[in-house]
Formats: sequence, C-alpha cells, structure tokens
Amino acid sequence: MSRLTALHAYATLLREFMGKMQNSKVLEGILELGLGYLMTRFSLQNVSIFWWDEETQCLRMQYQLFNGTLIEGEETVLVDMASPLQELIQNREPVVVSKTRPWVAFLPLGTKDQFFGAIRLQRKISMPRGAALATLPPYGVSREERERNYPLLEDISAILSDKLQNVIREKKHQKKERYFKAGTEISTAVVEVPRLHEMLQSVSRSIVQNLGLDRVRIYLLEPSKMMLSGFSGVQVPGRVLNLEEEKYSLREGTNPLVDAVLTGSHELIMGPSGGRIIYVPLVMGRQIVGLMVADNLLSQQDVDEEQLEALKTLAGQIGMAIVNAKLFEDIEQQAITDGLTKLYVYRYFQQRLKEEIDRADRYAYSVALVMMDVDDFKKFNDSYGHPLGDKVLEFLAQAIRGNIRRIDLAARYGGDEFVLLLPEISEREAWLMGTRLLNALKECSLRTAEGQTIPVAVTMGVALYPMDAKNGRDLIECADKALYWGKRQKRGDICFYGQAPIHDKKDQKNPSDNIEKMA
Amino acid sequence: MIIRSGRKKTKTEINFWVMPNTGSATRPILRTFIDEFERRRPDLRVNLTIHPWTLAWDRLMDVVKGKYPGPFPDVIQMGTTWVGTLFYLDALDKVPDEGIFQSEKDGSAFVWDPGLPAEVNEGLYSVPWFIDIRVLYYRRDVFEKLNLKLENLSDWKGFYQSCLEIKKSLDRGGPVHDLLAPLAIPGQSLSVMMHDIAPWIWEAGSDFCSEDLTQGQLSSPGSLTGCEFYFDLINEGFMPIPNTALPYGNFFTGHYVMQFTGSWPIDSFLNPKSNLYVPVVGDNFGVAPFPAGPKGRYTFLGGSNLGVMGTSSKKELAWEFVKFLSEPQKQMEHAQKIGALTARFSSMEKLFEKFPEVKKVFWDSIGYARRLPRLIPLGSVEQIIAHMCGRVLALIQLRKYNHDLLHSEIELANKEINEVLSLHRYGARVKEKSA
Repeated sequence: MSRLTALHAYATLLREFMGKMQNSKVLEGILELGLGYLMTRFSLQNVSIFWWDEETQCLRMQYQLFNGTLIEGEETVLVDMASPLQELIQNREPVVVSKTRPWVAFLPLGTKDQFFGAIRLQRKISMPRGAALATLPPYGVSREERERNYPLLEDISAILSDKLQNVIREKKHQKKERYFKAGTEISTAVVEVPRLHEMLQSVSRSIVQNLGLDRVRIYLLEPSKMMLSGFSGVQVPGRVLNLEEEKYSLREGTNPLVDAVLTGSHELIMGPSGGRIIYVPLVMGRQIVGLMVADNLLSQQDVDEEQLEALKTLAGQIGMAIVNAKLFEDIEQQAITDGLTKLYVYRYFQQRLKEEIDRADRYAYSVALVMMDVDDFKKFNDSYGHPLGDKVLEFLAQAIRGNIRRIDLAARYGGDEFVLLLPEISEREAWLMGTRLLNALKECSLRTAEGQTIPVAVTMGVALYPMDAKNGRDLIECADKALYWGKRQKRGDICFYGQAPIHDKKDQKNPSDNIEKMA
Repeated sequence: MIIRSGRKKTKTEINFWVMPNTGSATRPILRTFIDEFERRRPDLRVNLTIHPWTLAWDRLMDVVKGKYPGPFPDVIQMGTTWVGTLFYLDALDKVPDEGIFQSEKDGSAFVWDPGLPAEVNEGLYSVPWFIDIRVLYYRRDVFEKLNLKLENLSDWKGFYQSCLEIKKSLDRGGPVHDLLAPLAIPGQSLSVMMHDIAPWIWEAGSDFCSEDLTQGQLSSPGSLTGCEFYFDLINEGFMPIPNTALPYGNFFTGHYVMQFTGSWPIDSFLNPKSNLYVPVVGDNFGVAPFPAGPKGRYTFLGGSNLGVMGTSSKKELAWEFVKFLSEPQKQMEHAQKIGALTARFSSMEKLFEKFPEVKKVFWDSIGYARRLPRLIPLGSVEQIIAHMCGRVLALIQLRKYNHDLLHSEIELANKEINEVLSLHRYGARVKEKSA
C-alpha cells in the first residue's frame, strides 16, 4: 500500500468515525457507537472501558461491548508494581498484555495530565504483523514506526476520550448545580422561614434532596441544660424523622454525637461507619450551637468530596440561621407569654382556639375547654397583700404546667382566671385531668416566707366541642357558664356544662363580660 | 386547508431494569419475552437496561435519592434481600390486590413467600421471579487424577484437604493444563457478598444478627470461625483473587477445579449448544452439596423478585408487564432459559432433565437451604458486609491479612450493622402503624 493510499484510507476511516460520533452526547450512546466501531473495524471480540481509581490504584470496568451488546462491567484490575499495565498508568502508553490467544491490549483514555481510564481490546486470534492499516493496531513495533503508521486506534481513542471527558465534565457540572441549588434553597429558608423548627426541617429536606444523602439530623446544643437535643430530621425521599426523644447529656462517652461536640472541633468529623456518617458542627462565630449528622447508612453509598465540601459550606449558614431563629422565637415567646405566670396570654389562646377547632373538625375529635379561677382570691390580696396574690397565681400556673399534656395549652385569661385548651380528649379524660390538678393543689399548699401554709383551691367549668358548642366563641361561653354555676354550687370542684342544670336563663351569669374580651 | 391524518401514534414506554442473570445472553433471552409482550400490547414498548449486580443497588439508590439523571425505571428486578430496604425507603409500589399474584397464592409448591419481614404486615411489594440455591461444582477428571473422592467434600476438613492437594498438584504443574487454582472466587470484581459467606457462618453455628433481629452477631465466635475459614481459603491461594488484566475465567471456562454457585450455568455454559460451552468442563463436571461445618450443613437460598417503582408514572402498565412475566408458564420458561429455579418446585424437573444427579443435589440442598435474616434494612446490611469483604480482600492482596485484622474488620462491620438496625427508632413506618 502506497503512503498516499494509506493516508487516504486513514483519513477516510477517521472521518467515518468522527461522523458517527458527532451527534452522540449521552455516555451510553457514545460508548455504544464508539466501542461498536472499534469492534467492527478491528474484528474484536470484546471491548471494555475502565475508569482509573487513583486511590485504590485499580482500573474498574464500567462498560463492555460483548457480542454487540453494551453491558456494564464488573471487573477490577489492580495495577501493582508487578502489573504489565504499569506502562499504561505511568507513561499513558498503550500496552499489549497478551500477544497470543486472546490478544488483549489497553489504550489510555485522557491526556498525559488528565488520565482517567483505559479501553481494553480483546481478539480471539493473535494479531498478524503487517496486516492492512485499517485492521492493524500499531503495537509490537517501535515508536518511530508507530508514528509513521498512522496510529488510527490511538486517534480514535483520543476522540472517544474527548467525548467522554465532555460527558464527565457535564455530569460534574450538573452535580455542582444541584449543590448550588441546595445552597440557594437553604439561604431562602433561612430568610423566609423565621421559625426554628420549620426552618431546620426545610434545610434538612433540601440537603437530603439536593446533596443526595440518606438522612440529615440536626441536634441543638442546650448549654444551660448541658444537653444535646434532637430537633429536626429528614430521611430520603422526604420522610420527617421524629427526634424528640433523643436527648443526650453532655458527658464524654455518652454517645458518638456528644463526643463529636465535645471535641470542640469546627471541622467535619467522619463517623465510624467507613465515612458514611458525617458529623458537621454548626457554628456561630466561635461557638458550637448544634450538630448536623448526615449519613448514607441505608444506601451504604460513600459520601464524596464534593458532598463534604457542600456540607461544610452550608454548616456556617445553618449555624447563623439557628441563632437568628432562636432570637426571633425568644422575642415572639415574650410577646405571647404572660410575664408573671409564664403561661400564654389571652390573645395567643384565642388564636390557638380557632386552630384547634378547625383541626377537631378535620380529624373529628373533641376539644375540651376548661375555665378556672382561684377560690376566694380576693381574700389573699386583702389578708396578705398583693405580692402574695401574685405568688398564688405563680403557684397555680406551676401546678397547671405539671398536670397537662404536651399537646394542651394553658393561658392566663385575665386576673385570677385561667383557661386550658385540651385537644383530642373525651369528657372522662377531661374530668381525670381536672381531678389530677385539684389533687395536686390539695397535696402541696403554698408556703409564705414566714412558713405559714396557705391552701389554694380552684373551681373549674368545662365545656366540650362539638357536644356543647358550635364554635369557639360558644365554647368559651359554655365553659364560663359552667364555671359560674360551679362557683355557686360546687366550689373547689369540676363542673361540666353538659351536666350542670344551668340552662335556665335566670341562673346564668351575663356572658357579655367574656364576649367583650373576645371582640 | 390541509388536515394531517394518520398521525403515527407514539408508544408508551416502560423502562425495565434487570441484572445480567445470564451474562451477555440476558438481553436476547429477555428480548424474546418482551417481544411477545409487545405483540400483545402493540401500544407499549419495553426498554431493557441491564445493570451489573455490583452496581444495581447503587443505581436504585440514586433513583430513590433523585440523583439518577433518567430515564427512570418502572419495573425492576431486585435481589430478594433488597425488598425490605426499598419498601422502607418508600421506593416500591404495592402489588395490586387483584390479578397480579392471585394465580400463585394457592400454589403450595412455592419454595418461599415473597412477603416482607414478619414485623411489617403491609402486604406484598414484590413478586417472586426466580430463586437461587448454591451447590459445589467440581471437576471429576481432576479428582480422579489426584485420587480425590467425592466424600472428601462432605465436610470442612475434607474440603480444605482437597483444596490443599489440588493446589500442591497445580503448583507442580499438573494435573490438567490451563487450570489456575482449586476454587474460583464467586464474583468478578474482587467482591465477596453476604450470601457467599453466609453458609460458612451458619455452618459454624451463628448468624448475622440475633434472633430478635435487633443486634448484629457478626463478631460472635461462630461467625468469626465461619469468616476465618472462608477468607483463609482466599489467603492460602485456594481461591485466589484474579489480577491478570485479562478477562476473568471461572470454573465453567475451564480455569478452576471447583466453584460454589447456583444453577445458572446449566443451560448456558453446560449446554453443548451454547457458544459458551467448554467441552472439558461439560464432559467432566460434577455437583456436590455444601461441605458440612462443625454445626451442620447449610446452603444459601436467595433469588430475585420483580417490583414496580413507587415513582413510576405508569404503574398500571408496569404491573401488567410484571403480571405477564409472572404467568406460571412464562416464569418457568424464563427460569429455564437462564438456568435458575422458579419459585415453584415443579420447574426443576424440566431444568435438570438431562442431569438427574445434579437435580438430586439441588433437590436435597433445598432441604437445608437457608435464607438471610428477614430484616427490613437487609439491603443495607448486605452492602456493609460487601464493603467489609472488600476491605478483607484488599488486606489479602496487600499480604497483610491475619486473623486479628480480620476480626477488627468484622467488629467494625458489626458496629455498622447495629447502626443500621437501630434506624427504626427514627419513626419507621412499622412503628407508626403499630402505635
């Protein structure tokens, strides 16, 4: 074959290959066409693509074209010092591993500086020397000869290499875009969701979804209680985790989470599970305010460098957001809390009453409203002075707090009147709760500074929604009537609207006193 | 005005993900079933994607986590060990009440039920496709030349001794050309999986977790004994890690004297009509049960199920395809073509009709076959053990392996298992339902 003919044949083949590859943009498509071309043109039995894993010094097979079918491969080749592939890895040079049956050769992928893998070619028959250019890979000859022989295979692998690098770059770019999206979403949540719980829920969800992690849990540090408390957690694909019961005392050795906090480190800490748990201290200034725990325990996927970097970047934002949200909630709490009793104020009670009535309608459960006031409160003030009156109210508030459920709400209605909102409760359960409170008051009386014991008693009026009233306004009115009747007939006890003979108009207290408050 | 008529109707596409159940033959085999389904439903097109076993889990996790770029699977093949974890991650659609499984509910001949672990009384989330039972394939010609008896393979001691004899002989250059080692490693990517070490752990009297499924037991004395025996086989060169840069061989390509595996090669490598057939193996192979250990004889019973992804936008059509593949006749045909056993005993008759002795060994093996513990996060535990085995193989490759380091790796894996087993406390659906 003359040099000109050979050059022409070479150019034609290269053009043909480039034409085939022109419109392929998806990895599988590029490989199917590229490897398919190699297979047909060079009468190969099997062509495989390996990615280079620098860390483990292994070539890991990604795909192979076998009998015309592209399948993902499962082979790993460790390139140790004795490996015939050293030349490929060190000098990025093609290597013929076996010149007999099967004939196996590796071609490098990437440039000298950016080597990322190899193509393995396999033929059943040994390669004949001096075969036609189009079917002769230029191996087994000197570099000089090889350069003269138009290294078609090397050029094809270089084109394939470029295409693959573009796809890999694109994938990396998409990944970075997702991480950027996580950052944006978290910034938005921090700005737009002032409440701590909702904000952290939103942050956790965004991290799980955009960073591709199995779970994210956020724990807050409560220095006053020396505790690390579970606060918010989300698991793929978006399930909210209940961390309420997770409270860890800040003592070394209690828990790996506590230990991670006690190191005082502001850097990411890899957990014990082979890098699939990451502890991320949440820091504001120089102070640790919490701990984010991200893991891939369920999927058992590794957390990669980029995910770690993203977590580290987000940790600063989240730490700052926690401090701001806490500040906001403190101020808000002050606005809805009665200064003396630390129970909620009447205005907040009204807001929650409406919400609870709506919820009761939606889920078809009953709500009890308990109104109570201190028996003979005026006598306390008259006999012992107003400071003791305040003490009585504080004492009662404390007793209330200790005898209601977490879902209940207690508020100071005004003066010596208190109101309890008890969702999802039956009449009997409401009675039991009221009785428990009355007993608690009987059991521990108030003591003055002089050591004098002063008994505190209350009377309660209870109404139930929807049995006694059609709406929140009526419910207050009914509970108030029950209390009024109780004050006259059953002082120091519990009086239910439904059971008391208070439907006679003349017996009723004018409800306008309370209704005016609601207006 | 021109009115366009006869517009070509586009077909609805169903994406079907499987693993290479019969290597490169997987696609053509499944294509015959898909073609038949598409003839029944000309409005549908089934796109087949094959993911290697070692990557398939990762791919599914990427789908669950929204990391997979698409196209997303509608119907998936999953290892039976994965069903619980995929269910826990809300990845699976519930099997429709009517039709899909009805024809099989009355089948008393099923080897197992495909339900979720007993603690999850949630119904079915997958349909059994085929099952896998492990036995020991060996070369009768090599055994004869070395004067080794089949009885040698009946227990650990005899098995170990046989490996030693074969290795000594191979090191001296005999007895058969082309043989590399006594035993072929099961995986093709430096991998040893949970089901590979399971029989050895069971035969040493232990299991992967406690009976109440709350604690890992991988570091119990029995488990350590089983793992030591298994990894010593690799370390001593009886079951070497291939690193030749050449395509891997196995027992069926004629490079090894023995291999523990399932029935899949029977209709491919061991079928004279197949282009994978190697006469010296086909003419001389024998099958033996798993060697018995100090605490009994066990083998691994696993397999694959079919399910529909919860994220599929074509669930109804996807289930229709699963229903088609699950028709008893189709299931049997498929199992036969890939050399597996269906979830029905009856299919074995046909598969082994040419190999009655092989059938007996498989049939007997069902008697002492055991499943992996029925944990919800079994898929995750399986990955932990695969990673642990990978680290141990690396120690062997680097010639650093010893029992102390093996124990450390096992201890670490056991801690990880306990972490995963404790995940339920974060509001698993099971607890929510029972609360």
